[in-house]
Amino acid sequence: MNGAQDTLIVGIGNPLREDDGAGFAVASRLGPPALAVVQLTPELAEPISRASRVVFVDAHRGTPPGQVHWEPIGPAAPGALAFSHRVTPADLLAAATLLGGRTPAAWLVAIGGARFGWGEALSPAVEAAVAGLVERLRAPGEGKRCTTLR
Amino acid sequence: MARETIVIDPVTRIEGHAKITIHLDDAGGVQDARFHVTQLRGFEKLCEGRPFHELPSLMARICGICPVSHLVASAKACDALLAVRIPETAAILRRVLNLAQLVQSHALSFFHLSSPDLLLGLDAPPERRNLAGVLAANPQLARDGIRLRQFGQQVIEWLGGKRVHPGWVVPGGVNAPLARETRDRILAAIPAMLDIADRTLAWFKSILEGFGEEVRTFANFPSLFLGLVDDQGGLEHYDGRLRVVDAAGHVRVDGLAPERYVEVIAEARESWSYLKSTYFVADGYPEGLYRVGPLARLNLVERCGTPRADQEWAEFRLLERGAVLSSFHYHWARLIEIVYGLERIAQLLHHPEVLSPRVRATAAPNAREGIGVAEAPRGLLIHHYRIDDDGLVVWVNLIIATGHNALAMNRGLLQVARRFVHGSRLGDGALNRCEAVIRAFDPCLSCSTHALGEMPLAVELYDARGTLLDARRREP
Repeated sequence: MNGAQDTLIVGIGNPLREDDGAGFAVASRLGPPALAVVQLTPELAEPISRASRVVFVDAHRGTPPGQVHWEPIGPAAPGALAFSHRVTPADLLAAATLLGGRTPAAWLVAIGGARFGWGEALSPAVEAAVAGLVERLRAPGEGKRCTTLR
Repeated sequence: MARETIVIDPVTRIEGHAKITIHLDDAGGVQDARFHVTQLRGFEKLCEGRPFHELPSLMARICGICPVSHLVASAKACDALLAVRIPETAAILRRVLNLAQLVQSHALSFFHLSSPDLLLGLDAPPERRNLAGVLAANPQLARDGIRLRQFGQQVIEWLGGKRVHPGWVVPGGVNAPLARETRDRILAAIPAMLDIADRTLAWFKSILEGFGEEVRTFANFPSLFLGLVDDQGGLEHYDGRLRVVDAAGHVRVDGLAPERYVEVIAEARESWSYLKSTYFVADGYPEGLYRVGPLARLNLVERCGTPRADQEWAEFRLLERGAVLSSFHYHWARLIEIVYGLERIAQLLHHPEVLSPRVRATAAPNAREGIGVAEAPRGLLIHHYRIDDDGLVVWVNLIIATGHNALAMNRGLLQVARRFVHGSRLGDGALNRCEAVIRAFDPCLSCSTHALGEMPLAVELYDARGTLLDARRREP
C-alpha cells in the first residue's frame, strides 16, 4: 500500500456476539492498516477520504450462513447525511467526499451469519468464510495489517 | 398551576436520552421548564456483591464517551480501600490518560455536537444543522474536530489498550509502565493538535458576537461553582482539594479534602426524572444550586498552569468582573481546557520518572470505605464504595457531573424558554435553543443515571389540565 492507502479494509462487528464479529475478525486477522471496529463512527471519514478504495466487511442476518456477498456502494445523498446515533458506510463515503473532494470506490462485503448470541466463537460456516475472505484480501493490493479500534 | 406544557422529545445531539417539558401559565407565559432524563442505568445497585477490584472495569462501562473518568475515580476509591499510596509514576500516567480523555471528550462536545449550531446558526434548518452540515460548510473545522478527537482516543488506546472502555488503570496504580516509543509518539503529535486548538479558539472568538442573545440567556445567572484545584489554586483534574466560589468570585469553601464532600453537597430526587440533583448543603435545596465542569473550573482557579492556556484563561476572565456566569461560555471554556490538556500532557511526559517501571502498589483490602474523586470532562466525579470483610461491595454511591449541573440545567432551560417560547406552539428557533442550552452543559446522561433507549430528546407542550397541546420530536 502507498502512504495514502490504495485499499482500506474496515471490518465491523461485535466480537462478543458470535457471528456478529465476522467483520471485526476479518480486519483483525489482516492486521494494520485494516481497521477493526465495533461500530462505525464519524472519525472514520478521515482515513476513508485518503483511500482509493474501501471495503466494508460486516455480518448479515438473512444471508445463508457462510455465504459472502460483494455489493458496490456509493455515498449517501448530501441532504441525508446527519451523523446522529447511527452511521452507515454510505454516510462515511459522503463525509469522505466532503473532506477529500472525491469519492473512493467502495464495496460492502456481507458474510451470512448463523448465530448472534453471546460468545466469542464464530460458527463453522462463518469461520470458513472469514478465513477465505482474509486470504483473498491479503492478495497484493488488497490490504495488509490491522489497527484495532474498539 | 401551569396551564399549558410544551414538550421537546427527543433532545438531539446530546449524549443519552432526555425530554424537555415547558409549562405555560394562564397568560401563555412560561411558568416552568424541566429537563427529564428518561433512562435508568442502575450501576449503584448492580455492583453490590461484586469483588471490589472489579469495580474500575465495571464502572468504565457506565459510559462510552468518558469511561476513563470512571476508571480513574473508581481506581482512586479502590486505592483507598487498599490504603495504599500509588507510585508517583502511576499517578503521572493516570493523569496523562485522564487528560487525553478530556481532550477527546471536549472535542466531541465542541466539534461534533455543538459546532453545527455555532457555525450554521441556531435558526438553520435541522436537516443541515448537524456534523454533515459542518463538513459541507467548513471542511477544515470538521477535519480539525475529527483529528483532535482521534488524537485523544489514540492516546487512550496506546496507554490503555482500547479507545473505549480501556483497562490499564487498576487499584494500586496502572498495570504496565509507559514505553519510550509511546511517549515519543504522543509528544510528536501534540504541536499539530495545539495548532488545531489555537485555530478553533480564534474562529470561536470571531463568531461570538453573533450569539449575543444566547450569551445573555443561556443559563446566565448567579450561582456557586464547585470543583478541584491544586495546592496553588491552579487547574486540577486528578487530585487536589475542593473549592466553592460564588458569582462574585468569592471563596465559600476552600482546601476541603474531596473525601469530605458530604460536608458540602447532598443529593435530591425529583419524581419526574431519573437524574439526581445535587445542591450545596449550606444553602439548602434548591437554593444551593451550583455548576461544575469547564466553566466552573475556570472560575475557580487563579491560573491554569500552562503557558498558552494561561493566556487564553486571562482573556476569558475579562468577560466579567467576578465569575463568568453565562453557560454559553462552556464552549469557550472547553476550548481553553483542550489547550491546557495538550500542554499538560507534554509537561507530564517530560517528567524524569515517567518511564519508571514502578507503577503499582499491591495490598489486600485495609479499609471498609473508599472514596475516589476526580474531574471528568463534564465536572466533578465522585465514586464512594463500602465493602465487607471479604472485599465484596455492599454499597456504592456515584455522584456524576451531570447530576451536579441538574438544577442549573433546569433553571437555564426555564430562562431560555421564557425568552424564546411564545404561544402554544413551539417554533423551530425556540426548539433549537432549548436543546442548545442543554447542549452547552454537555450532559452525559448514560453516566448520570448510572442505556441507550429508543429516543433522544423530545419536547412536549401541555395545558394546565395536562392536555398535550404540541410536541416536537427529532429522529436521531
